[in-house]
Amino acid sequence: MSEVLLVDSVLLFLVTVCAVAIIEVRSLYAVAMLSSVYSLLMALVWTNMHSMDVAFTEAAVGGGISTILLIGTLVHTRRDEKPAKRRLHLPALLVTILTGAALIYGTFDMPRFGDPNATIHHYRVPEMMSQTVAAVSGREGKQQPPEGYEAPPRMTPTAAEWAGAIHAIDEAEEALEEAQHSAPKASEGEHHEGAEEHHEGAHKHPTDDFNGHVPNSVTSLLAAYRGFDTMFETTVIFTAGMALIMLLRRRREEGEDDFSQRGATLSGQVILRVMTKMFIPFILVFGFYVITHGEIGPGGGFQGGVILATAFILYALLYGRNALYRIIRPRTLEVLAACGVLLYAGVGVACMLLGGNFLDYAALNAASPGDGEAMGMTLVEYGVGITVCTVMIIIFNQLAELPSNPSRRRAGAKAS
Amino acid sequence: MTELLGIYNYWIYIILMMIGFYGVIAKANLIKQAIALGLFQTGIFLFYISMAVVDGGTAPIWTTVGDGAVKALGPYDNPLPHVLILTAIVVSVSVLAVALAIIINIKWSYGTIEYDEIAALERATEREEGDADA
Amino acid sequence: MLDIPLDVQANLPVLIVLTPLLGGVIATFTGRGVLPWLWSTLVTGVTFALTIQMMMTLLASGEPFISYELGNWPKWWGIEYRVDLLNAFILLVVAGIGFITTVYARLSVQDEIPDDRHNVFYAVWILAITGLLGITITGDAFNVYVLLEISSLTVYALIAMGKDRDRRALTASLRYLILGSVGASFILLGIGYLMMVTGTLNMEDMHNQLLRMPDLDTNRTILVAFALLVVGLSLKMALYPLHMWLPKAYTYAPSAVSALLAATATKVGVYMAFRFLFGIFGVGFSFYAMPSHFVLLGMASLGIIFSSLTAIRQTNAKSLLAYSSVGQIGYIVAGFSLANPNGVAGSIVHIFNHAVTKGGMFMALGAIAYRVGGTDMKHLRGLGKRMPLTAGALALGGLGLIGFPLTAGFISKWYLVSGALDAGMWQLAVVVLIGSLFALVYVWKIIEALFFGEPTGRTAEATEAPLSMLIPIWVLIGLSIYFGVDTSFTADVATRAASSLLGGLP
Repeated sequence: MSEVLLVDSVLLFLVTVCAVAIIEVRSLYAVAMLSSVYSLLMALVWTNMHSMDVAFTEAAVGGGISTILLIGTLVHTRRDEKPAKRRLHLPALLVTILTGAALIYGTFDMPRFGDPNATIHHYRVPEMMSQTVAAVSGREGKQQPPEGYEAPPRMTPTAAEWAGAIHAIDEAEEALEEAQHSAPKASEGEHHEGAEEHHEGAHKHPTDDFNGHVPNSVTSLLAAYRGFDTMFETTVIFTAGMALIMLLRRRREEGEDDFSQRGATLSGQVILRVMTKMFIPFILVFGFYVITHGEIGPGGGFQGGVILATAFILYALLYGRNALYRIIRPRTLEVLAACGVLLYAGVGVACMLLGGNFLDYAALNAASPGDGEAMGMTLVEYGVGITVCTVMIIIFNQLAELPSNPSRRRAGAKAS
Repeated sequence: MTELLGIYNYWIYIILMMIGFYGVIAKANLIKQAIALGLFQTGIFLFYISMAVVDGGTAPIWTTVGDGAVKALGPYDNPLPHVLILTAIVVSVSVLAVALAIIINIKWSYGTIEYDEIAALERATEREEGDADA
Repeated sequence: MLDIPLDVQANLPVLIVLTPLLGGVIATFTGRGVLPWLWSTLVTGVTFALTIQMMMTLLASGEPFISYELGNWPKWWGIEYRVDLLNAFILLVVAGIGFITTVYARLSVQDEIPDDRHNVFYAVWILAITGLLGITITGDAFNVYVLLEISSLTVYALIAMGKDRDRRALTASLRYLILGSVGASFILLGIGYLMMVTGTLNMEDMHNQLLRMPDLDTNRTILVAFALLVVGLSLKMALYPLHMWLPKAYTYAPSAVSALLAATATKVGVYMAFRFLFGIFGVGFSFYAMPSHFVLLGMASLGIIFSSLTAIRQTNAKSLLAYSSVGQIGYIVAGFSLANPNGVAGSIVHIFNHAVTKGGMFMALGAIAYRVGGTDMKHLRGLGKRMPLTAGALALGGLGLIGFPLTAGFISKWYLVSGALDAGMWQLAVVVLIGSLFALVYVWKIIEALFFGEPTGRTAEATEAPLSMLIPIWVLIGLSIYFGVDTSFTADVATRAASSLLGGLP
């Protein structure tokens, strides 16, 4: 009986209750708050399942940013949902039940929850975790660990048994691949040994394997193995920022300044003002800490960027957007958001210029590819952090924007 | 008991997804639809993260031991689904932001965010167009 | 030449996606005026050149595919880009249409989008093309999802920009957002199920893992994964009856956006279906072990008939063409669900032919909207006299939709019908015939308005569309005629790609 499951069942019960409440409650402000609660409960669920990075992100995004977005929208729209004509929407219920039943049917052949023998824990991922970049100095590519390298204990002890079972099938496949790649492989092997010796002499790092540089394997997967996905993740965020600018920004004449709109502020609230002023520096320091320490502990560019953004948003909430614009102009924000993506892709391009593949960080430091990897990942995390932080502020700013001239706009739309 | 609870975890994700799905289809309020879409997506995240759990495992973060070497001290959960879900969460908040931006625009030009009222307004416009055409 | 130590040839696959990505991000710096458009034309032009180079490299190498490992990680740990004949072809189509619509877009965007946000508009525009190219080139299942979201998110925003002309663009965009996100979520879940069963995300690796499973046909998880992916993909490619988002989105989007979308977005959806059904699951599983043969064929046939009928009833030419697009997707889906060489080849050829024809027609309608201010039938009436070149392009494109001999549409329908007869499905041949008859009716509706009506209102004062619009329109319409006469390139590529798909090569 796994303790994960016990805590889990209680938490998930609460989550479900919360989800039903979100759908049923009619006051939209209450729904915004409930969805924040939902996200925080979800963060607990993720923590319970040992997914610290996801929990961190969920708390920052679901509990923080999404709630701000929702409330920012509600200011423009309305407080309550119109009462429905029918309590229960029968066709919808039917569709959901049918889809749900189909999905449940699919769970019967799934590996049991937490099953250490599940394919996903044995195939590919353990290999990935036990490989090293120390073998790459010859620049032929990232290789399997060299002879004698002892992989740290990973996933489960039964991996070997399972590996034996599919060994026979794999052998045939490998033989085929061997035949295809035999020529380049041979020369790689020679290089490889020479490079290894040189490497040992030039740079003695006690843990000069890639995973040693990056104890948080979620970060190593995120920024290195699947770094290309993460680049596009940053692009998605950037795209969202641009889409909001495109859809919500007031029409501006050439040279019109950003300070022409005044919004309500909370600056009359003395207690809030004093406390926030005290908090903001700590939030900023924490944000930077999270960005830079992503490879050691939970966190990274995304979470850190969101935390940094909350400091600015808090400031804007208290002193108004004009006060925020005096610190950082909207134009600067847009440029910075683009720079974050450019920094990320730029690291990749630099790797190409140095002779590697795109995002092959090992190319950044020929003497010690392991350090090169670490450097590349750090730079990339900064890129993510910059884009996420600025786009979150942009989104907040755009949601706070008022329509250029609501009456004209409505009349214009009618006419067309 | 473990078997039952093991499946329970997968079923809860389906229930969450379906609560969200119901909201997306049944609710006329556009903001409710956007939030329900979020619930629907979290259900999927829960499925991915559940898939990563290993009995007796801990977070996939290694520990620095005495001589500075970094080691894994025991079985670990699978980090791959965690990474995928980090990306998916970011995507879902981006979609939410764009959806809300469109909803605000709808409020500005239609004056309401209830789907049935909007549909009525659109039907009226179509009738006018039909009259103008004839 | 500049002395850049960048090995373009070796990094070609990633450069195809990287160029528009960087170009799109940098486009936000271009400010006002004509600069954003110039920059976008440059970026999409370079991308197009790179895809041509990619195609030539592939054909010259004689290999079945070219693989590129991102970050130099072995492909089953990291992400792999894989270019074979099929996606080199689709890349060529997407990048080419992207380039031509960008050239076309200048005046139309000036007319329809507030000028203080042209830089942002073009940035989002280029990123949409990036997303579509990225989906096409990747060999990694999860990467498909991320790029799918980039292309969808950008497209939602682009459609909503039609709001200043008609507020219904907003509801159309939101509806697409909700349905599209549900579809993408189904795809994400399907990928998750597959990953759980196979332990990998690389498409080729997934395919091999699936084939290794002794209980492939009976495993309930794989079965549900298959169903989820089929539903999600059908939503994305607007297969009847999951097409609800498409007509309004195409109708109310800004003209240039409609042209880009109609020519590329759903086509990339179909390409994804190729990758998942043929590449990952394999022909044997997708079309013989599963009843998808009949389900897909049935939905496609219903789509061809009902959407053509709805198209006939439309009074707005843009929404008429949008419904016709749903029908054309029906032909494409029917072709590949036959799972025989002629059917699949017809499907691939039709992706190209329809992209070229519909792209050209939507651009012609955009030119009409630019001159006349709308695309209702009343705006079109009598335009044949005022804008003969634009109206002529529209009419020629219409002939392509019907499948008239000597147009590209004829070639694809020829393949489709022979594929249907090869499979002994004469009913499908009948459906294709009926569809063509309906197409004749709705195309006639446009032609009648254009050439046999009397111009009224703004139409009476309209002048021929500007040259910067006419050239791109006629390039596409010309291509649709050219490839109806000389089929050697398209038919050859399509037949070879079809045989490699049916051979089970991922």
